[in-house]
Amino acid sequence: MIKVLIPLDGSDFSAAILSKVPSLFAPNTHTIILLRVLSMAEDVIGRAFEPLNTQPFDSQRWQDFVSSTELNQNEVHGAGVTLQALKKSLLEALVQTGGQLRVLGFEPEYQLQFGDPATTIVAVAKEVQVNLIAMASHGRSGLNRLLMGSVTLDVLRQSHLPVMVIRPHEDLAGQELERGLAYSLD
Amino acid sequence: MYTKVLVPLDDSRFSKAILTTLNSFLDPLKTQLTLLRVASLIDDKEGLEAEIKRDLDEWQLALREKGFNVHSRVLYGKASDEIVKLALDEGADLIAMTTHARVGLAQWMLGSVAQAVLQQATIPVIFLNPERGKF
Repeated sequence: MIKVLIPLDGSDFSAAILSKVPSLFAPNTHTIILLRVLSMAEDVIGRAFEPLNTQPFDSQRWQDFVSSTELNQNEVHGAGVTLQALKKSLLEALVQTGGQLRVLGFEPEYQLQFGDPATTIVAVAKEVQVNLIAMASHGRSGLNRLLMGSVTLDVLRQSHLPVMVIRPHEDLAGQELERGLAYSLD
Repeated sequence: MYTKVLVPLDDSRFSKAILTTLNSFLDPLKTQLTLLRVASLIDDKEGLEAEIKRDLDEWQLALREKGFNVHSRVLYGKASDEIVKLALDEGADLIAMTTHARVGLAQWMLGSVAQAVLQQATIPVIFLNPERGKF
């Protein structure tokens, strides 16, 4: 199988790439790996030196994860619980995003990692031995005067793998902008 | 149904690096490749075309052996304009090219042709930044 790594950052921009999947890849030849990297500072989590665990969140690991989350919620509220809850919600959002691939017959794998986005994307790509990284030119920071966002450019600079880049449409840029304004007016 | 892929090349060996990776992420039997060389128009057009043909024939053969449906085109003009125009004319699904990601005045940047292509293209562009010195 050909492995395609698709990093997402939770923005509509980054998810725009998913609409291209059915025209370029097929369920019987390509495995899609959806990766969410949370760029939360490693020192907050205190796991800077924890080895990268790239085991995908298949049903077993998901079960283990959810049950461990439920267990933790009975403990004293603290950073550990908050982090677990955050992880759970991020994973759920990622799996929900993967729904649009599952209805097409793909069985995407899910990865959730913490760290510097570009470095982590390249590290996961290497560890999982993907054939292609596919991502939007811009992510959360939105379209700006630069042709390519810093994360995408850093991935291209750091990786010797082919990197597929798409530029999100202007209308999407408008939606994202409106949403940004709505947030800031809240 | 074929995925149509446009592969812009120049006369460097560096630009061909992308060709060696295509079968790592595309299914050759479902891919139609167009190798494109954009040249500047000079007096000896026939001589130039013969030279380009020699350069591309070898790669075309190697790609056919891998199972790809492949043909090549030679166009004249500004590289990025011709690349984007042909992609549109052929209804290409994606463009795949080798590029540098090097340090510019204030930031990391792409090669100039790659930048212009990404700027104008409405389809996905695959960039390969090969290991330094490999090609």
